[in-house]
Amino acid sequence: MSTPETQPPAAAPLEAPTTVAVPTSDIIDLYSGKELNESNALKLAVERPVRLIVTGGPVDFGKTTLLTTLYELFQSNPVAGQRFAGSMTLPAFEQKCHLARLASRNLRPNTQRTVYKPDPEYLHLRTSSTEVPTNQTDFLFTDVSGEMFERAIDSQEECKHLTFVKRANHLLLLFDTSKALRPNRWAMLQNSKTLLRSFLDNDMLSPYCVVTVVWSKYDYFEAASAAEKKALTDFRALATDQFQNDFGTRVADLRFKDIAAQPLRRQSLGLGKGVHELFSDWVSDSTELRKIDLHPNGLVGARESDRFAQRYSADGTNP
Amino acid sequence: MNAPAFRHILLMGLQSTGKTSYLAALWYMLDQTTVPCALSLKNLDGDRSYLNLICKAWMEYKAVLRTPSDSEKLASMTLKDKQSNQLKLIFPDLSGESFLLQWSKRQLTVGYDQLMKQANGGILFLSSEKVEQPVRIDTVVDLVAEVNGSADEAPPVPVPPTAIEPWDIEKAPTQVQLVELLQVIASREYFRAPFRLAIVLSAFDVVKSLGLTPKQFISRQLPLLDQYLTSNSYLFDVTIYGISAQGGRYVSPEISPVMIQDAVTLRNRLKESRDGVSAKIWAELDEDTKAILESDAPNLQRTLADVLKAQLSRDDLYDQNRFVGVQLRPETMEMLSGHQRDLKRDADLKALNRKLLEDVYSSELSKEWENQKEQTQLENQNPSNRVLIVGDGVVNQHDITEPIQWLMR
Repeated sequence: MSTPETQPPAAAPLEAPTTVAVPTSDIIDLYSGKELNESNALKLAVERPVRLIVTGGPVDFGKTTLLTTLYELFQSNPVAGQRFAGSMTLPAFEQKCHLARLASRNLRPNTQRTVYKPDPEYLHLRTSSTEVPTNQTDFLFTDVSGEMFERAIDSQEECKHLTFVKRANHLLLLFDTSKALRPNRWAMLQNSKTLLRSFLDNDMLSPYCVVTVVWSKYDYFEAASAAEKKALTDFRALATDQFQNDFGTRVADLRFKDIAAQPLRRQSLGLGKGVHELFSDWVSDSTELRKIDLHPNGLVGARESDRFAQRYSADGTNP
Repeated sequence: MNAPAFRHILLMGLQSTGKTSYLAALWYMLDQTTVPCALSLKNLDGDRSYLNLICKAWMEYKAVLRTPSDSEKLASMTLKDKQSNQLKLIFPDLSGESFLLQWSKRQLTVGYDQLMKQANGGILFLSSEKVEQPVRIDTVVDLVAEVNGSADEAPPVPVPPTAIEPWDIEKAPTQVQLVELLQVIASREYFRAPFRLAIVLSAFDVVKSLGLTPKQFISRQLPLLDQYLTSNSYLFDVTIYGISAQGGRYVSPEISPVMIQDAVTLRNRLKESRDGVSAKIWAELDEDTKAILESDAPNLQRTLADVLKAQLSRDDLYDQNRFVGVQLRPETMEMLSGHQRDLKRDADLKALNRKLLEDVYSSELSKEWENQKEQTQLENQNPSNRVLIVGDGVVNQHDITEPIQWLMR
């Protein structure tokens, strides 16, 4: 640790994108540490390569929990071969983690709900490779209320306002597993498809953008009864088929993942189940260089429903 | 590479991280001859009265407290090595308030910024005893579940919103605050990499039993900071020391449950309130505490310890009328006369009150103080040998200037 390494060209010290030092009398204001607004996020993106991760989904589907869990994982260890290298939004992360920490006196981990604001805000994280510390990557994560996406589902005009989606390297569409047994699950599926269709119809997705359908709160599946598991498996397989059929040829890379960021129903899954894998995707995908591959992983012709069914037998146990 | 002729080094760290104890021990070491010290004092910029004050407390095995009015007169000291290389050690804020201000209020003072601008390096203090961890609720629930033999638990119970403690930025994990402190340094437009940084883990003797080196301690207890330093080794050239500036733990007047020798009698005396002290203490208790004391609850001893502990900081415990009939020991009388002269130090007040309580509850409260044996061992040591320092490249484990020497290289 005591031997300094050669400074990498792209890894400058963290600097506030807006005016950092504004002396007022004998006080200098530092960067706020709160969520970055659009202008600050753009400025950062101009200064250095940034990967933008857009997490989409209705209110209470676990978007913020996914991000805070990633931050929490770094509090104890490197994640997916990456070390924490900095953040311009540490206080923002901390505040969002509060309800999951013992200091809150909460009895179960929770996440502060993101308040609806007309303009997007971002959380920032810089990581470095455990193999090559000078190889650093900056991530910006959208931190927007689910209400913003709900409005976009209802209105093409609102959808067009989500201009940040155009710059996304990864778009995550979250499905709440805990809601997949409820009657309104069909609306959940339809809404998500409508949102993605709107993005595509309005040319709002970069041809390099990876779209990942994320089944959040996967612990609900693990804790479900055999009958519920079967129903969930069927519904998820159907949803997967529909996404593949409707969008498989329209997006560069369509993926499906399960996460239980903060598992309440099956704590034995551990904090951040599936988050490492998602983050690994965000790290390894150099979208500028990646070829468009409409049939990733060599699974040409294979239906996701088949793959899902292979992963989970009808009674829900892992094969 | 030739070292600059003159280096400016900042002493940094959050509150209560051992900066003042280090300075007290340093001041002593610079003025003694028993242990060879690689550096000597060239000159002191500021009033030496504060240094003498904290050094006196250090020599008397008392907690070194910051006295703002005196400490602010102290600006820096210039040290030189045997080759006449010089280094200016700057103390921008011994209390650590400025560093907390950076984190919580997102502000820097212009004065501190100017000092940072001059600095070629720094000593960052971190208390091994006071690492605030980011403890998640689920980790505790997991432990409980493990004890109960079930890894999973029932559906969550809703928590009434009023029971939630609001977020307090000042209580953020230590490692997060330290990362931000370093990010602020690195974000200044004048920042020149690599910034040499000696991290000093104070009170390292306390964690010695863990069998960890200072580096391992950072890696295990502050992994986010460790990752940040490794990731940004081109910005910060870091070495880590563990230091025991005190040499061990000082005797403490605090009261713990094991010191309650006869809980039932003590409880009865308080409740019956036949003497003035018991009557005062009982009258001040809230109804919940009284209910616990009256119920023979298993935590009776702990509750009684808390009740007496709360009296230690009270400056109204002693009253001549209240202590009528209490046989005070000569040592208590001596402290009491000192109390009437000057009792600005919280530690002195606590010590006096502990003695007073021992005299009132002579059978119920132990007269054995915490760390008493450890302090006795310390007192038998030559003060020059009290300081212990561990870390890569340490030549003399009693030379407190080792981190400064590294910064001069």
